[in-house]
Amino acid sequence: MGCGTLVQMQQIQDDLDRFGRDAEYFDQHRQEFLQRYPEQWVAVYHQQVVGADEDPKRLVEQLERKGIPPGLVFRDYVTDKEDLLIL
Amino acid sequence: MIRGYIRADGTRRRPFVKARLTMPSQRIAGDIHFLVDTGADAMLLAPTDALFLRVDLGQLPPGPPTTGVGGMTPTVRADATLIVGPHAFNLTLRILAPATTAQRTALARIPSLLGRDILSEFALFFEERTDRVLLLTPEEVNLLHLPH
Repeated sequence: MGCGTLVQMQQIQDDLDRFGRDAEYFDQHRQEFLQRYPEQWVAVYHQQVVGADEDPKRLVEQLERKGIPPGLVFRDYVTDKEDLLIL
Repeated sequence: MIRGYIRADGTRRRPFVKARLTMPSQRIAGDIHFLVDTGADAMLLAPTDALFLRVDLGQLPPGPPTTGVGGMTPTVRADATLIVGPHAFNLTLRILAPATTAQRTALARIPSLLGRDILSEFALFFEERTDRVLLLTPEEVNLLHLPH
């Protein structure tokens, strides 16, 4: 593995670590999000809410306008409706 | 060893693994949290994750339709690389491409799936009681001396 590839892999692992922390942040604040962003998609980046919208397309546009890469944010739908997921 | 996590959504507790997905043909890279699904034949990218990664579904060739309890859904396919922990896998990625408004609505909230094309490279340890989701390499499993 070349030096450039090693640096690239380290950057990816750093991004994934941050992504994991953002997922934890989301889960820890789920109840608060239910009050503030019910039935919306919420994006978390560096443990901050960076956007929310009912329509995921509009949320992606919102993030791009802010210069935040949509593919790197942790995103999930906030709802208190339980669904049974059988795929 | 790759460490996943269990996410609680109301009373549901589901196992996830985070990974980087790249699609060189569309110059796309993004992070996904995949639901670990031993029942899925292959990895599947959900429509909402495809949207956040800015995948242009119209530019990709059709793949085989997926069949699930909700019926059949068209897919598109693309060459991709999945990076999970220190492991990189080159694969043909299937992406759900719902064709109707009803399908789009029904599938909007489903997660991307980590299926057996990737899981087959590991042994899966899942214990909800202790919040453990572990993907073990063959070398790590051999050290456990599990019965055959």
